[in-house]
Order: sequence, then structure tokens, then C-alpha cells
Amino acid sequence: MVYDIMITALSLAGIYFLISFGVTLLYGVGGFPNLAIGPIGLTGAYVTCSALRANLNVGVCLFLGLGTAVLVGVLIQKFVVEPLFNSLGGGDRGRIFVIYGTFGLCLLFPAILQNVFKTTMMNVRLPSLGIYKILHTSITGYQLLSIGIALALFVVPHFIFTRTKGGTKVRGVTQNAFLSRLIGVNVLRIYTVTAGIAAATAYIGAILWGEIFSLELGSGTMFTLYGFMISVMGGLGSIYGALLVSIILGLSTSATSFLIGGVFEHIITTLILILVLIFAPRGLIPTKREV
Amino acid sequence: MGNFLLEMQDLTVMRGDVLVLRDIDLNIKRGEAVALIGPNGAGKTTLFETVMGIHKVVKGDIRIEGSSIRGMGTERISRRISMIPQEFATFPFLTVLENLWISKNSSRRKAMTDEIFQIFPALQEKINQEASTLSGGQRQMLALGMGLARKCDILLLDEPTLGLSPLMTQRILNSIKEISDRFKLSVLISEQTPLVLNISDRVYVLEGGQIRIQGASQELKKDERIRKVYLGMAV
Repeated sequence: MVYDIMITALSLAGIYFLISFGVTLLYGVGGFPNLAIGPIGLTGAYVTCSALRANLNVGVCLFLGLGTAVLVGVLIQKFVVEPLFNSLGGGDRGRIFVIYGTFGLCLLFPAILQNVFKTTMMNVRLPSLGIYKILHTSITGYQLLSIGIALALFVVPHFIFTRTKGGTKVRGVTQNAFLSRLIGVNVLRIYTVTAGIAAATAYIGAILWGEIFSLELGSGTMFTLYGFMISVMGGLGSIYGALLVSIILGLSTSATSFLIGGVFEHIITTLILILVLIFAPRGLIPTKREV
Repeated sequence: MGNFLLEMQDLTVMRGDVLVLRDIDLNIKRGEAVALIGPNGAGKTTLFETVMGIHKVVKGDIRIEGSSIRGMGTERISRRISMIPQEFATFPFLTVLENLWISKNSSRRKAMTDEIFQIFPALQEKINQEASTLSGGQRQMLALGMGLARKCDILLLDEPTLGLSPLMTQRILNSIKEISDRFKLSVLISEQTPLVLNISDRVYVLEGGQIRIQGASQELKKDERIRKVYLGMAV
């Protein structure tokens, strides 16, 4: 029983972290609260599902979906997020504008998806990666994969941000974008790449969620909601915080559904959110950000 | 014409609907230290930022060694000109070494830092400390070091002694003089302190977006009107 709870908790934590990673990264690097990130990932997942239905090669299906998500993510960054952010000279007013604009997109996306794909539910039917036994508990290949990708998403950025010059420049941009421009950093290019990576991770999160659970038109909004909740609790923009919160939520959700029943999952999650906001309003591991 | 490393001609800049700079003519020779003085709001910072390609030029031209950089992006200009902004001139949560590392064009972490530490030994002791933990003077030294690390031959310094104690002001100004002589840099430095006249060759006085007075530092130093009006010195 304890093992069951732990294994489920870990795989949930992996997915939560994947979903919140894009939100965290975009906010951490550019200060952009992009609420459309969930629907962007979902759009890619829908493309993959449709391609799978058409019996295309699995690799091609995944590539098409990933490409679509990255393209949509970058286009939204360039034509919605950045113009809105800069319309009143950036800062907190710019952020509010981005929230309004991308919230609008969040509401718009389900209708667009329904019109394009002519369906509400989508099942991700990827080839099975097998079922494994760990500590007398069975775990599917995709659950393992979500844990693995989440770990990689934690370790790789940590290495890039602390050990490479490019990563150090990105940290510089988060602390002072103007000074970064003066020392010759192409800040806009960094934002574009960030938006692409955020869209890609949102897509991977959506695919794994769809493989383990299922996808529907509202899933994108739910991803955004979870992504932001986790990001806010962790300390907006903090990758370490997002990982910690993902583990906490994974554990609480898993324990709740095993011990008292799945109905209470959301109540417990919301309670945790409220407690964190009361006792650590800047998040569990706040980031350092100057301007 | 080819005599000047950096020249501005009839430079006119608007920010929104406001005319901030009007018909600026300003030149710097190779290896020359030029001071730009003037009250707050005179347009000194805008002038620097315009050279760096941040603001749009309405009229006139900016040239490096005779070729125009008007309309060029900041990324390209920053390879020729290094600007140290007035405030927030360092990355607060990067270490001293990281600040220098990302400022320079070479990708090697340690290259060029030895020369910088020779001029500012205080920085070497704090090499792995975050910039936010440094004192105001040390932070300004780091900012100068970052400017040097870029290895440009033109250095723009926007009020580098703002908020520093008189003693530290003197030290920073002396280091600027040392840097400019040692590396044959052309330096344009905006200041409000009269001490800048001691380390500069020539002076431009900017007021209301226009150059009002210009001349050799040694001569303007004696000018009673300049001392009183622009540098706030008690006579």
C-alpha cells in the first residue's frame, strides 16, 4: 500500500512538474505569465492523436505534434505576449495585460480545437512501453518515462544555468534585461527559444497525461491551472520550487485517493495552496529577480 | 573627419512626443577622455542610450571611424562600444566572476580577468561572491571591469560615481583615468561632480537637450559660471 502510494505519487509528481515547467520557465526568464501554455501543449497533443488515428508512423506523429506546439507557442509569444507586455512599457502593468490576453486565448482554444479536430475527447494511443514491477508494485512504462523526463528537466537546466555561458547569460536576462542588451545579449532571441522550450515541455506533459489518463477540450485550461498553481506555490519562476511542490502534490493526491477517495483530491490540493499562500506568500523557494 | 573615433552630427532624438536631444554635435578622438556634464534631465542618459541603438534617431547621424551606425541594433553596436549604465550596472545575483564572464566576448571563463583584477584588486578577493553583496564602490569597480572585459575601444560611462562617497568618487575617477590611458580607450563620461574636469581632456555641457558650452577641461575649470551653475560648486 505504501509502495503503491509512493509510486503513484512519483509518477504524478513527474507529470505535474512537466506541466508546470513551461509556466515556470517563461515566468522565470521573461516575467511573462502565459496562461495559454496548457492549450498550446494540448494542441500539439491533438495533432499527434489525429496523426496516430491516420495510422502514421509513431515517430512522425510525435514530431508533428511537437512541431505544432512549438510553432504555436513561439507565434503566441511573438504576436500576443511580447506586444501586450511592451504596450505600456513592461513591468507589472505589462504582466497584467499578458494575463488578460492569454486568458482570452485560453477560452478561445477549446472552440478552435473542436472546430479543427471535430471531436471533444482524444485518446493518446501510443505503443505500450510495457509494465514493470518495482517493490511489488506495477508501474507502466509511461509512468516511468514521466518520472525520467521530469528528472532530466530538472538536472539538465540546472547544469545549463550554472555551468554554461549561455545559461549564465539567461540568468543575467532574468535579473536585468536592459543590462543584458547592453553587453550584447540578444534578449528577444532568448525569449523566443524559451517560449519554444516551454511549449515543447507542455506538449510532452499533455501527451503523457493523455497516455496515463485522457485528454479533452478542457484539459489545456486544466494544465494551465495546475501549472500556475504549482509555479505560484513553488515561487513564480523557481524550477527548484516547482519540483518540490510537484512532489508534495503528487504525494498528497496519491495518498488522498488511496486513503480517503479521489473526490477529496482537489479539496486537499486547494487547502495546500491556501496554506502556502498564507505562510509563504512568495512561494516555498522564491526566486531572486530585480527588474 | 577620419580623425574621430566616435562622432555625432546634428543628432536629434524624440522619446514619445518629447524632443529630448536637439542637433547634438559631439566628437571623441582615439584615446581621449571626454566629460559630458549637465543637470538631471538634460538628456545625458538618452544620449548614451541613443548611441547604443536603444532609441530611434529622428535626424542626424552617429559614426564610428567614419561609418554610420544609425539604425544598427544594440547587439552589433555593443561589439564596438561598451556602455555602463547609471544604475543596475551589474547582475546582482551572479558572482563577480560570472558577471565578468558573460560580459566578455571570449567564452573562456578566466581569460582577461587578470588585467581587470590588477586594476581592481578588491574584486579578486570577492571573486565568488554575488554582486549584490558588494559595497557600492566595489559594485562600480565590477561594472567598470565588465565594461573593460568587452574589449571595445569606446567606453560610455553614465554617472559612474553616483551615490558614492567623496573618497570613493575620487578613486573611481582615478581608475577611469588609469584605464583610459593604459588601454588607449576613448571614454565619454557623464558626471555631476566637478572632479571629472581633472581626469578629462575636453568637456561638453548639455542642458535642455542641447550642447550649450564645449571646450578643454583645463580652461572650463577656471570658468566661474560653469563652476557655479553646472557643477554646483560653492565659490
